[in-house]
Amino acid sequence: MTPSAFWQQVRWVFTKDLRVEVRGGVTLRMATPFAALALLLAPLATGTDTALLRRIGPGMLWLVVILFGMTVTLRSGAREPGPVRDLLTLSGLDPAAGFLGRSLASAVLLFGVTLVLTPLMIVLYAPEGRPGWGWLALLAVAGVMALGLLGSLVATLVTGLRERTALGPLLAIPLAVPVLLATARGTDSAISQQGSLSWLLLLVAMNLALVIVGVLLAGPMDETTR
Amino acid sequence: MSPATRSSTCRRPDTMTRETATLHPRSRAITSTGVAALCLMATGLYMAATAPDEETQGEAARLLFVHVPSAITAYIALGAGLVTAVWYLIRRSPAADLVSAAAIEVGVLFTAITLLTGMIWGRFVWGVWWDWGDARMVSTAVLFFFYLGYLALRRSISDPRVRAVRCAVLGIVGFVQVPIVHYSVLWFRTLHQGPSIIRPDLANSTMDAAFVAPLGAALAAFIAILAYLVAVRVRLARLEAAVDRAASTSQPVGASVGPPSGLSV
Repeated sequence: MTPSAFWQQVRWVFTKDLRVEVRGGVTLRMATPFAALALLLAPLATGTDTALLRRIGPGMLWLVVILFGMTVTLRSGAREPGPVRDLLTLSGLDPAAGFLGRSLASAVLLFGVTLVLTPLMIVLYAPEGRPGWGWLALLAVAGVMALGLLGSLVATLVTGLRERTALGPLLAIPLAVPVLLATARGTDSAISQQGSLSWLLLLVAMNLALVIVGVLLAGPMDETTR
Repeated sequence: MSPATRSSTCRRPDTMTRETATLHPRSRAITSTGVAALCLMATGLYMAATAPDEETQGEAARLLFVHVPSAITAYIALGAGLVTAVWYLIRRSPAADLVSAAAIEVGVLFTAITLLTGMIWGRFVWGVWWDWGDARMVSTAVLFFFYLGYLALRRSISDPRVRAVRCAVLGIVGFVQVPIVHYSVLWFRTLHQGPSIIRPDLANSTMDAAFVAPLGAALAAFIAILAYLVAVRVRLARLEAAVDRAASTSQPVGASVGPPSGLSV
């Protein structure tokens, strides 16, 4: 397969997944409001100490994105249901292209969730300092991409299992700890006008590792979902 | 019952089929490993008990003769799980899958021992059971929960081929956490002491010679226990597979084994 044909397939899967999401609207109508509610309720559990809330705001944002976003990616990153899957297989879809397409679509959905939640966190928690928007955007892109790749990888592993809704997060969230650390600490640094380069590099390295592992293992994983 | 009928149904154990005999959970190699593990454990316990008191930690330091070897053994077990998972994906050998699963299962046990002994040691020396500032403690707990997920995934899939492939992938992806656990004490500001044996600069151990010998003996004992448990677990997994095969073909397990000879029915 030529590289252009490969990327064409990635684009097809990516467009298909986003179209399904736009028509269903689960992420926008259900997952995002639920995540926003979690941001709103957290101060009731920790206490409404303003200084404490200022400190934990960035961390809370990314914790909520990871916990709620993982449910989004595990759903959207999963292999397609039976007939669609068979059709894609018969069309000669490269498993690696399918994996990358699903991951990119999940990342775009998560980026949407983050776009809604970030201003909300700034309003509710009022973190100190002026946000460095450039760093925040880079961290958000790298963070959601890592979560999208991770979610698609784990979603394929739990495809077809009765226990997938409980098992998926149990497998994905421990692996997402470096993303939580890098995005939360990086956002903290960006808001306090310090550079976030080291955290961004960690996220880039994690993305690269996940792409390599996902592309190499897409074939074996794909054969178990047929 | 006629003698002819009895001879066809009441067979002695030595006439069991080859498959049943190889699945018998006792074999000389496994027993020898178990005996060696017991001897090494006794030696390790004796040496740990007779080691000199540590200057600042006192008796609590003896916990390290369990904590450190269990951590290293967990790394070895999870590493063996990784290697055999890769081996499975290359060769599709069912034996590699069984060894990978057994090694990871035993690795989870040793990770739990590491966490538990670390917490007890922390209570004596730091005054707290759990310290969030200790990067290694937190990363070990994350590792433990991830591998619990691995075991849950394994139990959730009934098809052996699908289970083997998916668990091999997860075993490979998850191992990335092991170097994170080990190097967390260098990468983050943490309460936990830095590595004193497996040092990144490959320099000599910073541990006093009086403690190195008992620690070495305990480590040898833990590795022997690991080998024994993995061997027993692999044998058990083979028996489980035989039960599954028998169930799928509706053939009763142990059908080839009859009542003892001389028993009239």
